[in-house]
This record gives sequence, C-alpha cells and structure tokens, in this order.
Amino acid sequence: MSNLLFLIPIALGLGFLGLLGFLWALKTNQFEDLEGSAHRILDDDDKPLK
Amino acid sequence: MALITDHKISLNTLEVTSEPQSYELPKESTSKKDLSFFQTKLENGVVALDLIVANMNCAGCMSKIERTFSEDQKLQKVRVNLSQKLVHFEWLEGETDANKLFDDLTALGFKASPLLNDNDLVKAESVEMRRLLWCLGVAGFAAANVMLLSVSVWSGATGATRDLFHWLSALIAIPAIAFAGRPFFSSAWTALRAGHLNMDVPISLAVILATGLSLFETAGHGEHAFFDAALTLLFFLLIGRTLDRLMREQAFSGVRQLLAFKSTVAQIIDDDGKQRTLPISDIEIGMRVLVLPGETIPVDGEILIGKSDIDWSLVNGEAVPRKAQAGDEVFSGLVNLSGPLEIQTTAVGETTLLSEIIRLMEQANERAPRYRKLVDRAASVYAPLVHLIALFTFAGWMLHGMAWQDSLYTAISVLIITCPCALGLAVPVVQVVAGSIAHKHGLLMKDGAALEKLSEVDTVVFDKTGTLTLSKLNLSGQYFEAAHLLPIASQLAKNSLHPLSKALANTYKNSDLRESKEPSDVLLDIEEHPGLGLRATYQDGELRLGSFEWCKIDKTYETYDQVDLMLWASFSQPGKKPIVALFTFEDELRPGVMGLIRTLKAQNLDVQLLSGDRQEAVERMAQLLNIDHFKAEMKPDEKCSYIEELGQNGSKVLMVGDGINDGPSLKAAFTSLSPSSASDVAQVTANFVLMNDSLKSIIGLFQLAKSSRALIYQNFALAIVYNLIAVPIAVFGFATPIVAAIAMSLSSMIVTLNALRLHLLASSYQWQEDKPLSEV
Repeated sequence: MSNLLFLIPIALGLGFLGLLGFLWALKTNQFEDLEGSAHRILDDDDKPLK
Repeated sequence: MALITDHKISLNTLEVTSEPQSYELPKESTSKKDLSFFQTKLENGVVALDLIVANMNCAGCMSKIERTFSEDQKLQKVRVNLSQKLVHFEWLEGETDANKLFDDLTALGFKASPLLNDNDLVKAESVEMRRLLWCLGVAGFAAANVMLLSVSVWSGATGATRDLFHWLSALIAIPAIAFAGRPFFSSAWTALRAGHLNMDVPISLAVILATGLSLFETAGHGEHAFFDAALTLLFFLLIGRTLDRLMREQAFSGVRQLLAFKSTVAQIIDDDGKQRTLPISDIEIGMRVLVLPGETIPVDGEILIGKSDIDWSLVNGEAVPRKAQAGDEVFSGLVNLSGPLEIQTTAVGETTLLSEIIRLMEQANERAPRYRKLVDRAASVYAPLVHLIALFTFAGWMLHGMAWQDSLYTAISVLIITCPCALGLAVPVVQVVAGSIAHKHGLLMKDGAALEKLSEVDTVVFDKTGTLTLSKLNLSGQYFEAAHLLPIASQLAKNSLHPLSKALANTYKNSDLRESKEPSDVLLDIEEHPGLGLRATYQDGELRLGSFEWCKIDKTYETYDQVDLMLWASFSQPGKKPIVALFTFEDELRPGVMGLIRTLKAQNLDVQLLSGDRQEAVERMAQLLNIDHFKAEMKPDEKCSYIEELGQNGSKVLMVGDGINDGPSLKAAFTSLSPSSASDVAQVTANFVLMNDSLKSIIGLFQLAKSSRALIYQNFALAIVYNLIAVPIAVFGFATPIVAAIAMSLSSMIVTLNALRLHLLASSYQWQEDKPLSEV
C-alpha cells in the first residue's frame, strides 16, 4: 500500500511531463511543417542552415 | 472611346509624356508591384517576408532554396515550410530587400508570389486550431492516466484502495473533461438553445451523465466509475474534430494564398499623373485610384474618368452587370469588368484581407444548403434515434425492475457505444487525406463537399479562351512581304500594350532573326491611336501597324481580311509602292488538353464547349479537340442560363472557366474549377483551383473524387455494421461503459485506417507529371 504513495505520483508526473512536452512542441510551432520535417532529417549536410 | 489619346513615345528613353487633362487610362499598370509592402517589421529592426512558391514539391527543392540563401550573408534566417509551400526570410532592415529576394528565387527557377503577413488573419486562423490541439493533448493525457488507474481497479483493487483510485480518477477527469469538453458543450448548448439537435448533444449528454454518475458512485464507495470511458470518448471525438478543422484550414489558407497578391495593393494616381502602388490600408480619402478591368474596386468612391460594366454579384447577388460611368458611385468589393476606371476615394472601407476572406468563406457555406453534406443528412436522422434508443433502454430496464443506477449505466453504455465517432470521422478523414493529395498535385480544393459533388458529375463544360487556351497569342502566319517588315514592325509593336502587338514583339524577340540594330533603324514620332493602330516615321517613309483601314491597305488584299486575330503592317515611302505584310495569330492550347478531352470522353462524360468567341473560331477548336457539343458567341448571362438549363434537365455539370464573366456560370454549375491564371472572380467562385498550367490533373481529380466517395461509403458501411452489432449488445446490458468506449475507439481507428488507403490508391492516378525542379 505504501508503494502507491510514491508510485502514483511518479506515474502521474511522467504523464504530466508528456503533456507538457506536447504543449511545448505545440507552442514552439513544431507541427507547422510536418512534410518538411520528415525530409529534413534525411538531409545530412554538415554546414548549418540559417 | 470617348477619350482622346496622344501618347508621344520616343524610343530612346521610352518616356511617356501625356497631357494631364485628357489622357487615356492605361490598360495595364505601368509600375511594377513593389514587394516591400509585403514585408513585416519584427523587433530590433529585423524585417520578415513570406513567399509562396507554387512549384516547390520535394525535399530537393527545399534544400536547394535553403542552401542557396544560407550563403547570402545579408540574410539572418531562411526557412522553408514544405507543407504550406512557403519560404520565410528574415534580415536586418536595409541589408537587402524583398524585390531582390523575389528575383533571386525566380532566378533559381521557382514561381513565387508574396504572402501578406496579416497578423489578425494568422491569429484568427490558428487560435481555433490551437485550442483544439490543447484540448486534444489534455484529453489524451487524462485518458491515459485514468485508464491506468482503471486497470488497477479491474485487476482486483477493493475497499479503500479502490476508493482512492476512483477519487484520483475523479481528480484528473473532472478538470480535464471541463477543459477538453468545451468545444462539444458549447456547440450542443447553441444547438439546444436554437431548438434543434446536433451530434454534440448526445455526446455532451453521455460525457456529463457518465461523469456525474461516476462521481455519485465514487462518493458512495461504489464498485464502478466510468471516468475512463468519458475521457476516451472525448479524446477520440477531439481527433475527429481536429481533422475537420484541418480541412477547413487547408481551404482557408488556400484562399488566402490566392488573394494575397491581388487584393492588397492598389494603384494610386498622383496629382502629377504618375502612378504608384500603395497598400489598401494606406489609401486616404480624396486619393485617386486606378482600377483596371478584372480588378476588385478597393475603396468606396466616385468614378472620375472611364466607362465600364460593374459586377455587383459578389455584393448583392445580381448576375447582370451594371453599366457605370463618370459621376457614378461605386463601392469596395465590386468588380470592374470591362474598362479602366479612375475613382476618387470617398470612404475607406474595412476591406482588410481578413474581412474579405471571411466573407468568401461564409459565402461558400451559404451555398451548402443546396447540396447538404452527406454527414449532415446522416446526423439529422441519427442524433434523435440515438436519444430515443437510450431513453427506451433506460425506461425498459426500469420497468423490468432494475435499480435506477444500473438502468442508467446501460443507457450510458448505449450512448457511448453509439457515439457517432466512426460516423463523424467517416467523412472528414477522407476529405483531409484527399485535400492534401490534391494540394500536392497542384489542385486547391475549397470545400470538402465539392469532392463529393465532383464524383457525381456527368457533364463537363469548358470555356474556350483562357481555359482550353493559355490566353497567350502566338504568331501563326506571315504573309506577303512579312520577312522585310517583321523587324521594324515588331519594334513598333513594342510600344503598345495591345495583346497582338505584344505577341508580335515577343515572337521577334525570341526568334533568331534578330539583326544588329543600325542607327538608321530608329523609329521616330511613334504614336498610338486606340482601336486603330500605331504609326511611326522610319527612314524617309511611314510605318503603320494595325487594322486594314488604318494601314491604308490596297483593296486588292481585302479578301484576306477575314482572320480573327491579325495585324496588318504597311510601309510607304514617297514615290514607291507601299510594302504590305499580314501577321496572323492564334491562341496557344494549354498543355495536355487533347489527352484530357479524350480521356473524359472515354469515361462517358458529356464534354461541351461554351465560348463568347466567334462561331468559326469555336468550331475550329471543337473539331480539333473532337468536341461534339459546342456553342459560340455566348454572352455571360446566356452561358449562365445554359448551365442552369442543363442542371434543370438533370445533368450534373462541372464548369471549367476562367473569365471575369464566367463567375455567374461557375456559381450556377453543380461544381466548378478554374485555372490559377483566372480572374479573381472566377477563382473565388470556383470550388477547385488549378495551380499549374496543365489541365491534365483534372483526370486525377476525377479519380480521386470517385475513390473518396467509395471510401466515404465504405466508412459509413463500417460504422453502420458496427452499430448494428454493438447497439443490441449495449441495449441488453452486456457492455459496461468501458467496453463500449473501447469498441467505439476501435471502430474509429478502422475508419481512419480505411481513409488512409487513399494515399495508396492515389499514387497510380493520372496527375500532371510535375518534375521536381532539382532534377530538371
């Protein structure tokens, strides 16, 4: 029973982190260009783009 | 023409000196549109510009643009958005300018047009979407965690532990439902207040009842709580809602792209007669605005100079244009049809791009009642039915002697299991997928229902000029002493904006016949006389270009004066016989037209040609393309009533047209398409807009429409079969709310996966071969 006292907060905390992550991604416009991002990851050029 | 013109053009400087009192309004704007109006100022002196690049299709194009512009030291940032076909630039003010970037992009081989960064617009557009995504995120988080707790309860938690888990679930679920359920609650409330039912009413009812009852159970140390079911339900419904929104946004940003360039700037005529470009928002009362044929009038005002027909249809729905002349009042939003107008501004309207687009979107929605969307029809039957079944279930079990809580559970299970998720997803999921496929192939779909309509089309009506042809004239024949006169005639033609003159000048410019210009070749005293032609002094003689009469051609040539598009030229020197030449022109066919017509006919579609052009020209075109039904010399209102007649006789017509005058016909047709070169009116009215030059994509669009329709029906069938099996199970009390929620989710997923098959199907359709630029 006492396990639950820390397991449940941990489980909820992890879920909450996931939610925060999603909302952060949303806020920083990471869903703006799904198609472009799919291709960008394959683009291996050492020079950084602006 | 009531106006007198006396343009004196000297070839060396090409400077137009016109007398300020009496001059003709130009047929085209002389100043190049200045792109710096489209850049927006950010903080710290940084300037940003967004350009839409129509022919950027692949990763290759993306990295080509980004790489090329990264080398430009003056730029701070360059970023491609491939999904929206946008390039975003940022630089420090003064370092570089919008026009240069635009030219650089064009030099790379990309077709770009600027996008206005209207902050209000962007905000309004994304706020709704963002709200839905927030709700989706919260619902997803809550559903997962509550489910976790539920699983523990199912695996045998009892007594105090179970109560703890239930209370924890309630703690997560209630705020989450209150937050994530708002889109449904508010819509259901609006519907109820207006006195009718929509799909959101049973959804809200199920969610609120399930939550309330679970709370009651939890408080009474009960065995069952259904927070998980309520949340899973919300989560899946929000997915459907988000997809629906995505579809709307696709259409919205499409319209925004179309209108961005066209309706944001106006040509101002200053007191000294010079023209300049000004954003509409900067126009002040008293300014004189030049409105060319085909343009939308940007301000309210009074006509100072010019005569024209005005299209009022976008404002009051009147199909017949009204005549307007000096002294008449005009309003912003009207479309100038035939002649250039100079307008004195009397009021500056709130014609921001945003208001314009919102008006257009609303207009599109108003048109919907004529053809009710499939899903709405289903909903109007389905929603009351669901309520009745749930009510009967509750009443039935109560009468049977069951406790009221248990009867209510069963009723809630019915509400959840019949939740129209699969039905709600059936249509939007297919439309979103179809919309993105169409967009990828250069077709813009304005609303989802249009695709449904397209699949039922049995008659295709084409407009001729500008639709089947490119409205680009080509020199098709040279007669008599044309070889002699071509070089100087084309030089003279350069001084006119008349389409035939421009065609002549272009042909010569692109041909190899070009000789080195000798000093004696210079044309002097060039004059243009509207409706007649041009004249100039060349060496010691007179050169004329224009109509038969204007060039004073000898009567013996009169039999040749029969072609539609032709220019005569004559060169007469004192004491010598005049040298005469005749140039004929023809419209260039749009690429892929022949194949398109053949394929459409092979699919048993009735292909027709309607044109305002002369009988012989239309007949020739019809023969060339093997079209049996054609009508020539049709006035716009005749075209429109002809199409209405076809519709009344039971034909479902796809109208393909581009002209300003095609607006009413496009509206009258069952569904409509216009090429991107079309007038504002046509593009705004048409359900589909073709973004590239080839009409061949229409075949692909037809195939896409057919399979979309098939998939929508398959999805409906899946949803109905699911309901037929699941509803009896729920009614007879074999399904707990959580089983109901899982069954419901599964059916939604199956429907979504089925819709995604469209990607596989569409890859084999006939689209226009759009070669990625990087491979050219």
